[in-house]
Amino acid sequence: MAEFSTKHREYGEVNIIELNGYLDAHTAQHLEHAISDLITKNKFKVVVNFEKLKYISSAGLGVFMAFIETMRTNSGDIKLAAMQPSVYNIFDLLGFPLLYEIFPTETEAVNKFNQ
Amino acid sequence: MEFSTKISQPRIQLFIAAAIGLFLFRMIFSAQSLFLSLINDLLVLTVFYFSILNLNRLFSQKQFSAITLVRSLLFLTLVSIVLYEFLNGFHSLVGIDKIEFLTSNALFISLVTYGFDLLIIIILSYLFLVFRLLFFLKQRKNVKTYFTALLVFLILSSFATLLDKFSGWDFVKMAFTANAVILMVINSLKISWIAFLSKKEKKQLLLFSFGLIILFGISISLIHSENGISKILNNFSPSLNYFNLLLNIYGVIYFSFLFVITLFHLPTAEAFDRKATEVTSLQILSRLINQVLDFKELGDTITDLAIKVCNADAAWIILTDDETKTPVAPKNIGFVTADKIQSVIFSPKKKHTLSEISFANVTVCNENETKNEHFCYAASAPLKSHQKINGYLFVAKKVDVPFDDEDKNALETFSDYSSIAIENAKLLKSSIEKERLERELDVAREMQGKILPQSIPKVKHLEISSVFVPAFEVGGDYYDFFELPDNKFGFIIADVSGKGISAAFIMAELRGIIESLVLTFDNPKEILVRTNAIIERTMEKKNFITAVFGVFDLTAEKLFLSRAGHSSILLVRNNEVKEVLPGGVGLGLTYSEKFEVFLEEYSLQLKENDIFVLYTDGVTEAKNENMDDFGITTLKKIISDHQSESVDTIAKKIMTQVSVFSQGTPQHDDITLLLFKWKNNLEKQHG
Repeated sequence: MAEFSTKHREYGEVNIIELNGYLDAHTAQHLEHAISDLITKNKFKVVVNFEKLKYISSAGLGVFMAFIETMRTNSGDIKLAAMQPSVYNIFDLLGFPLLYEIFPTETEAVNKFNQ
Repeated sequence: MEFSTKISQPRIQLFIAAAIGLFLFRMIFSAQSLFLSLINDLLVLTVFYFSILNLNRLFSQKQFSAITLVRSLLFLTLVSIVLYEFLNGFHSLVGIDKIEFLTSNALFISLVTYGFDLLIIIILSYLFLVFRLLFFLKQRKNVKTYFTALLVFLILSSFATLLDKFSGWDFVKMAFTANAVILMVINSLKISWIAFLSKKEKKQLLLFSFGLIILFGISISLIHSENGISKILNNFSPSLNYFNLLLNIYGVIYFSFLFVITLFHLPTAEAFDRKATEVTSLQILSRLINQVLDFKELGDTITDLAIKVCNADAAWIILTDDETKTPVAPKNIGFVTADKIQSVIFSPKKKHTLSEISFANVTVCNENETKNEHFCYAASAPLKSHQKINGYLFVAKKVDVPFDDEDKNALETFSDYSSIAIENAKLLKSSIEKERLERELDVAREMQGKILPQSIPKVKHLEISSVFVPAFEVGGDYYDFFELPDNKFGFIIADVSGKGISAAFIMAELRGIIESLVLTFDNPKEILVRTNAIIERTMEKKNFITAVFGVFDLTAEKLFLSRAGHSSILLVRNNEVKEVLPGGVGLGLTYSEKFEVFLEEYSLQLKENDIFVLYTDGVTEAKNENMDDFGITTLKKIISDHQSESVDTIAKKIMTQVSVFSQGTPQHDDITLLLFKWKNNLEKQHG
């Protein structure tokens, strides 16, 4: 089974989740827990760092869709950052960039929150 | 029981008959000679025998514990002493040494006296039966001979009193009595049943036997002295009187031994108790090993028994595959304290020492704790199976005495059993889970198979080919063809997010929606926008569908299509493979007007030999051993290389390459290919 892990960091008000490995139907639950944890702690400003993510499946994409509404209604957001070209391509095909904010680097995503 | 149920009903009548017979005999003959006395005493023996037969029926109905028997003995001796005292009083009141028969007053007195005699017989037979039961309690070897021998000598010495009385041959009585007493001593040593008593019961027994020694002593002194009771009994039957004396002596000897031996057993009683609980605990657990379906229930049983086995006050389990390290089935301890104790036990040790039992003084954990959670010592044992540590069993105790070797051994054995039980429960759970999943996937695959078109329609000017290869975990791919009015031909290719039965359900729903929409609409964008609006009602937020809907206008020789987040459409024209990628987001990604805004309408005037290849990401994301993607570049190259061939051949070539590429790695997603080739002019030329 493919390996997947997440790391959580805080940068001021912004919560950064680093993804590592392969995000598919089996590992999606792990990320779901990580994000719903933040929601229970009333933390709605999230930047997801994709730098070390090698693969994302449709179930992986679904995780962001499941939570973005909650974040936005609580004046937060999920911003995506630092994707590998192959991963970005998947998001792009689906039309994510039209609905989500995707940044080349984590810093840019964090700065967007602090504007 | 020995006195079996040969004569079941008439026993009580036999007793009564024997008693009446004895009374009549005594009315007629006074026991003046040895011969008459002997007959008298034999009759007494008969009454005694029938009394035993009757009482035995009461005992044989259920099993009595040793303590109950001893307690009943205590009660019985008390009653008999009271009776003896009463008879002493009665005797001095009536003032008879020899009952004068045939006077009216004497008849009444002799009747009353005879009643008491019978009562004493009943009490004695009861006493004898209890002794007998005590003797045979928990005996493993055949020791019947000893008891029978004792009985024989008791009777012989009893009857020898007659010889003593009438002939003065007291040595016969002495000899028999000596034998009886020796046998009493031997039989009194056969009391292995005390080992099976708990400490509490042993303490009780100690008290009871002390009381019984005294009571039997009093009883002896009453029988032996030359007072009323002795006279009454001697008058009734000298043998019975002596038998009574001997039985009381047996009581004193038996309970003296019992007292001393129990006293010696007392210090080890606790250890014995523990071994006993250990054994029963392991029995319960080994039964559980094969039964438990409920993991929580198993955990509860393990911690419950661990407390008993290890003399602890609290117990809990930690499983290594649980990252949060939450205590499972904690008993008498809170999560916070458990966590503190764990960190004390584990902190100074290296990983390898954790594969053994560890002990720690955990008094440091007691700061800020209530009295209830005040633990002094704790121990942990690994739950190992197949050299792998699955978790730890913890026990903690409040008393300020460290765990000893006994506790350690108990914990070790117990944790071994527990780990087998836990492993079994896990295996069972995973195999049930697996079976459930497989059945679910069977259903999903069956659904998918029924939803997808069973054959490819024949369309003029259009060569069509399709390939569908389902993944083991149904991927949710869907495609279909629609013959539309006005000489139009529609198709859809879609990929539902997620896998398994949930994906299959969404697929089925999508098909229903599209089938009904194509009855009214033939504009790809309109159909997709309406589909998006309809699925909002049922689809979960995390699910989405990517799709391409296309319509060939066969009259106008045009293709219209819209793409909702799906992979590109490959168009082969002029020896070049082009990716057609009109804008559009996936179905279910947004339900706002943005969906419609972003969804572009693509149209193309068809040219001879135009090839359109539609695919799902199962094709481009097919993986090889290095987890590399098959990729769109490879796909385009294959199509380019074989563009002059039929769409069926192109499809075959693609599939061959995909399977060669992903050889040895399981197919993780459905693979769908849809190919169209426009063949209008050729037919016109020929036609």
